[in-house]
Amino acid sequence: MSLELENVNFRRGSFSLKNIDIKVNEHTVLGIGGQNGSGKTTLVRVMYGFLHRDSGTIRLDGKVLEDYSIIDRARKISVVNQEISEPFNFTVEDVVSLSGYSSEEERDIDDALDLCGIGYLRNRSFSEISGGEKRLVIIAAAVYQNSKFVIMDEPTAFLDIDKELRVMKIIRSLKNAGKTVILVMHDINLLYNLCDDVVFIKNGSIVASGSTEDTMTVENLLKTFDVKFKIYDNGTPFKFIPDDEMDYAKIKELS
Amino acid sequence: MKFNLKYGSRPFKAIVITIILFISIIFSLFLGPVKIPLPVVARIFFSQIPLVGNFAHWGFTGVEYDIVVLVREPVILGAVIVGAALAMGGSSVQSVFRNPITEPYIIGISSGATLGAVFALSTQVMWFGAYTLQVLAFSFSIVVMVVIYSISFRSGRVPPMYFLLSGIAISLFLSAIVGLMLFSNKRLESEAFAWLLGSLSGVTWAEDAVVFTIVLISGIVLTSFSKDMDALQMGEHHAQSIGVNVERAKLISLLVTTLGVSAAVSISGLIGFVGLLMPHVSRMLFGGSNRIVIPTSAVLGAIFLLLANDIARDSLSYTEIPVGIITGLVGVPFFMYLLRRISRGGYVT
Amino acid sequence: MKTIKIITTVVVVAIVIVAGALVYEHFSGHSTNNSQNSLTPVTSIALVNNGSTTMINLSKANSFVYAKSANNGVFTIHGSLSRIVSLIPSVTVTLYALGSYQKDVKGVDQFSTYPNPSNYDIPVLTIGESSLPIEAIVNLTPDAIMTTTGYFTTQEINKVVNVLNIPYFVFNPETVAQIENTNTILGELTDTAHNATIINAWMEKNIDEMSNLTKNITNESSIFYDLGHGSSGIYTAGNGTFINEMFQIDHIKNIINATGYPEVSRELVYKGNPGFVLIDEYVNQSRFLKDFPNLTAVKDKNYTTVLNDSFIDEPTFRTIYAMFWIGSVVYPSHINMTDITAFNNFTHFDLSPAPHVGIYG
Repeated sequence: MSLELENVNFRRGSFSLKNIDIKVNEHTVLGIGGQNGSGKTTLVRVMYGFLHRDSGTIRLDGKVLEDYSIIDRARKISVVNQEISEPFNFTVEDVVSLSGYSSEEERDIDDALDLCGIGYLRNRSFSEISGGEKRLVIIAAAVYQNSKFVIMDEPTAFLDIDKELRVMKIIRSLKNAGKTVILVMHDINLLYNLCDDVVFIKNGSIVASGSTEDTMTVENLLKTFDVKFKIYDNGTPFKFIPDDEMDYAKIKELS
Repeated sequence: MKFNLKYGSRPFKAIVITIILFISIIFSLFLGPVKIPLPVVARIFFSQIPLVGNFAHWGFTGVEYDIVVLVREPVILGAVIVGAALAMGGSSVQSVFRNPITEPYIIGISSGATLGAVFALSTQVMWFGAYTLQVLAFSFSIVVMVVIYSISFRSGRVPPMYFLLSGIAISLFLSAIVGLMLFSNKRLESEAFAWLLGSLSGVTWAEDAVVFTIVLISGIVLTSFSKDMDALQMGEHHAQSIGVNVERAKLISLLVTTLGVSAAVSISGLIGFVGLLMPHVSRMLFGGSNRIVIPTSAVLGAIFLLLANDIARDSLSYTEIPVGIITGLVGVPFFMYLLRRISRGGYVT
Repeated sequence: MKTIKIITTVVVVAIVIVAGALVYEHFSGHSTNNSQNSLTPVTSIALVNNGSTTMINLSKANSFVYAKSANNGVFTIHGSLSRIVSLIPSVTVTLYALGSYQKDVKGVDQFSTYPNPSNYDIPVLTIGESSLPIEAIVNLTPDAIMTTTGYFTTQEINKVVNVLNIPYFVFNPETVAQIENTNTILGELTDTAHNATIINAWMEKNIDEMSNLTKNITNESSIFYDLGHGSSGIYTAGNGTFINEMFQIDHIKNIINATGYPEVSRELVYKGNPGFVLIDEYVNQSRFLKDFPNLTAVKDKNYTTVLNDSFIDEPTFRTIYAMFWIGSVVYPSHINMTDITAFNNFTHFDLSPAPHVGIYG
């Protein structure tokens, strides 16, 4: 019972994903990190079948991804996309309850709204609320979809610190509720705090992957981001900070 | 869902607009260049209803009966059907393309139907008897929509922007052909002009019966796809991730819209603005969910076109103005007002 | 996969089109033999009067009728037409000359200004750009609508003919012979056939007289008739029109060799170099002069504006007036209006306004 990518290749124009092997374990949080344009978003889109890979296999709970109908796939995987469209005159309730599309029984959206702390927005117009609130609404929609896997593409982008903490709380409670979360993020401190496993990609290839403790090293970060990090291991949630005095010669040498 | 009839609630407003529609229909029966006394029209109206009719078969002449039953009623019903079809088509097309300023004609219906109509006029073919123009307008617009759809098909997807652009390109191409046909036969200009402006005065019961069936079916199918279309408004990524078969939803809603709107247009010509405006009015009154927007915009479209047609029939005592002119005259100021509301209310940013 | 989808779509659409067509066809009754709900032009009329039947052939006047009750291509009329709505001035004028106007005409369009309908309490129906005033027509319970091609939509005509069961006559006479046949047909339909023979004899006599007057003209003049300025040229009357036929009787050569009422380019007018230019009532004369300052006819002031174009542009017996008038303005030395005896002595019918009044306004 897991999501497995075996030797997946994908190419569109000059961009390509090369030989991706990932195994997402159940009840864990997997982080995907990398620079802008490294292929994180493309990777998750291939992962849930929005983009069709050119070769390789993706298995969802033992079955090849393509053997699922779109609606069955939605019952297994929900997605929080990076970009948010503006529908005409929808209320927050309309947006969240749309995610019940794949579910057979009628459920109340209150639990999802409460988990995301946006119960007060329920009857507000979706176009009128702030960008951060919209992000939380979309996350609430994914929670409401009640699927085993939740893919979140940059869920904390442009969020205030309180909403960022709220998202961390949501991810942890999803994990506690037995869900598997796949998290695309470039904030490495959040990755470090939230994830059980991480995958770092650069130019469409995996640079490093494995458990967070083993994989998140200064060397791997330098390889992934071309930035030298210092470690402050004093028990705060923030462990990695960029080193101002970067040794560019060494960066080139390593990469 | 919760159903309450409190003042201002959605069901309340829905019932109010439905009542307004029925009042408009009755009101329209009394309007026309020939003045028929109110009680006479009422008796003629009731005489058509089984059972009740037995008590109303007196007090009117055959001419009055013909005017009410054969001249006015099919036109009124035609306005209701065409208005409803255009408004429902507008709701679905705006949802699929996530674009508030589209109307159903944009997917090839106007250019295809015009080509069919002008083809019928210029070749004088009589393949379908008196209804040749209507059948050709109907089928040409469906064919053109399918052609645009096929052209836009790219690696398993039909990107909406690509569809819109191909639609515009094909429309311009067909307009050129239509221009060529009209240029080579000046005598057609008058009838082609009537078609382009839209008019309901020639509608008959037989046309109403056929078009009503098609529009009803398309309305039912569109309403059953309302959730899919809601999801499409959230973007195709989001729609697919919640389980919507995006391509199927787009194909079916566009195809069914084309069916309904082409059928309507085949009897009315190109009446503008109903398909653009009424979905917005409905969304302002009832919110954005298509499950409610599609049926209510149909009612609103019917009211709008019916009243516009009343103005067209009755504003000048001596002649009838093509209804398309009235929808434009009334529609544009209304649209400007709507734009102000939209920008103030944060409905579309 | 994708190809299958497209093919499926096309097949579904095809099925829908065929189904739609079949339903329409069912309602149009096209598949059955009876002509109901189809618009088939009928050219044969059987006029049944006191047990005897007269056959009328409308095609001799380049005309036809749409009628719901037509059977096997023949439309039967019992007695004569007595409730006519005339929506074209040429028919109105002809019915008036025949003596049928007061007894049979129950409504006319707003362009039928002669005779003045208000003098006879005849209601005026306003026709719009391609808009048939159906309700007002039904209210008059007509037994025939008379008009010409190109005014109303097929949809409206279908409603009038097949739903409201009113025969719809379309008259398109385009030659002098067809005009005379129209007179005869309208006479037969309204029981005024005798008057039609008188009018036709009058027309023939005047045409003969005109031919006599012009036969000695050796230096034939040429003409261009400006009927209006279109987007790409000028509308005019060409071959196959009664206007051109009048020019021929007048021994005037039309510089335009195209057929019907074409829109001709300005270059063709210059190339044709007409000896005389006729400008229609509704064309701005200065517009023509501005367009053709160097035309010989313009320099020599050989042009004139028609002050009442209904005499020239409507295919009726009144074109005879136009024929004389055009002759007199093009060949003033040969033809003088006051000398035309047959013309002046014609008092059998009310043809007023008198020709010179009519044409000069």
